[in-house]
Amino acid sequence: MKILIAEDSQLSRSVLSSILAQYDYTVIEAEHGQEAVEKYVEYDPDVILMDLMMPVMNGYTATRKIKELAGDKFIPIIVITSIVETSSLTESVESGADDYLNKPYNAEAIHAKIIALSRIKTLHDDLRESEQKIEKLSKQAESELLVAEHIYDFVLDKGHNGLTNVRQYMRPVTNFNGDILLTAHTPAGGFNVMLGDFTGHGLSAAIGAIPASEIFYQMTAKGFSIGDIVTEMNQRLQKILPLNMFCAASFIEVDQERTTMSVWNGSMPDIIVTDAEGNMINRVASSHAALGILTPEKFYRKIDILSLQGDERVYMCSDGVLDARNSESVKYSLKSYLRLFENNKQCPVGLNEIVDDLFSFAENGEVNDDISIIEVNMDKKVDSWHADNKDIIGGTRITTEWSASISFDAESLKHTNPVPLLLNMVNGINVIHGHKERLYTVLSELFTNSLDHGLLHLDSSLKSSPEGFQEYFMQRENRLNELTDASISIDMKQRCIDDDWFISIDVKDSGDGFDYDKTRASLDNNEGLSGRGIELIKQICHSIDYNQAGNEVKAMYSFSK
Amino acid sequence: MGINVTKDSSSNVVTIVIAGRFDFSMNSDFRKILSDPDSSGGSYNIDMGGVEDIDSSALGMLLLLREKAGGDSANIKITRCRPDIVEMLKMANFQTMFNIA
Repeated sequence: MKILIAEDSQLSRSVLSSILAQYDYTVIEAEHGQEAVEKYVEYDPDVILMDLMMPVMNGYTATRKIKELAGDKFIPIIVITSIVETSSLTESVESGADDYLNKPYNAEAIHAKIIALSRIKTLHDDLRESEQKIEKLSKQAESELLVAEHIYDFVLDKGHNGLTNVRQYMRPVTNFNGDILLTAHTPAGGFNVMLGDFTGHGLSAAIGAIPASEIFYQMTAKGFSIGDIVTEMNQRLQKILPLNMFCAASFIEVDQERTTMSVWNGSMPDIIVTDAEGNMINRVASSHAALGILTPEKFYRKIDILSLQGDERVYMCSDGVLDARNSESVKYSLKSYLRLFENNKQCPVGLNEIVDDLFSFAENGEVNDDISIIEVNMDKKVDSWHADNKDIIGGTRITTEWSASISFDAESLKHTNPVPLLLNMVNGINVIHGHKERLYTVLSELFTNSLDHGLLHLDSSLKSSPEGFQEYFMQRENRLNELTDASISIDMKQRCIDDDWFISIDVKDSGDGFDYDKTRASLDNNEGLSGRGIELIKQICHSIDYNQAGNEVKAMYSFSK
Repeated sequence: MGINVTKDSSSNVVTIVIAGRFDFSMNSDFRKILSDPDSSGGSYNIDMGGVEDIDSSALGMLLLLREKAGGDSANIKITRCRPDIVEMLKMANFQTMFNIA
């Protein structure tokens, strides 16, 4: 250990030096304050013994200068005084001295003070080291958070240019959210909404948000149903996220005509459906594990299907809402949330009223989790989607004649939905902006009719009541599972006739045929399985014809219509 | 407050008693249990009688324990939960992965 002695008396210096030498300290000597400062810089001693009255620079000034040079590093300085003079002691402590010694010197006392002060120095150094480590870590965390924030903003930005019929309140706990909202139109003019809540915040949440949003936007654009989307998303998140991380999520899928809503709720609070007055008419509680937990074999994609009138509103929220606490640490809870939608209230509840109620409850309390509340308005008038956007149709370029035949046997019908695949094929050969939605509608309607009525013999009149709705889809699932020896063939031909381009779509099933007129009538009544029906197809297509048996339909679609 | 582990070596049952707020603050204690061979057993009993609140990181910890205990073949009982905690576990569909008594 190195001890610096600043003392102008030659005699005093040698007495001190010989005492310190007994304890094996290395001694550095300075004759005045100025020299003490210089030797401090040169030798970096562990403890300094400082006389007060010295020529050139006195001990007070030297102490102050050395403490300044040391910055946040601790250098113990012991002042040496000949008489106990309270005023000089106070002044030296004010200059930065840490302790004092009285002359004449006592070897034991000097040694004890040096040990005590170097112990404090060790503590101080350790503390400083961990402070620096913490500071470095917190800077690192801060910069990672910035990266995550950038990723998140980028991901969420794509959601923002989405739907005019979706309103949101999102309040993050940290400077950005572990909750994500994704919204997009389907090719057929319906829309999908996903509200997700990742475990944790920051970078860990952003890691999952990237693939989740990619899957959502890409699969929605290709016309996949939310059942397909949640299955894919679960599989991907399960693969990439650590075991203890997952994404609670609620999904809704609504068709263009607002006749049905498919719902998948995995570990999120109840999804509420209200009528136009804000009274709750339905709610869908969680019946699934969060995404990213279950292996594909264990994952359950079952969705709930509700029928709609077209004037409802749907509310989705993250569990931060239910977990918000008031000043007595009582949770807001599902009960308070549901009470907002009760029938006997004075004025209709909406997004603003929910947010107000929550925060007047949690005022002076604590909010520990991200808060997201989403309102989806089913009124078509507030949705910006238009099928006949002429600007978009201008982007169509069709130059080739082609044809394709594809057929599906019972097994492949159980596992694939060919409609997105077919649409992708047409879209891959041509540039068909603006026709995509309508072609999707035609393909999906013709295919669904062949499968549901031609092969599965389902009765569409079932769908006229909400209970029947569920029944219809249960029957559909059961009969599809039992289907054998059946097939659907689809032929598509693109031709140019008198300068106009057409695509003919021929769908034939192996069933006995069904009563086209009867089915048409019932479809007209309740707008069919996905809310479109044959009438809509007739409007979209140049022509539509069933064969005599009723197991083959041919639609002509004109690109110039 | 905190986590307490005991093991009955004759029945090979590990009992984990958790109390207080079961959240991220218990993460390191919980992970210690997961990596400790002495707290490994044939089946587990998680006594949550003293748990006042859980969050999603607690759910994550339970999933880690389930994996350690054999994943789909794990034998884990979660006992004495307050009704609101049961409600939260059910919202996360944990009744399909754990035996919630």
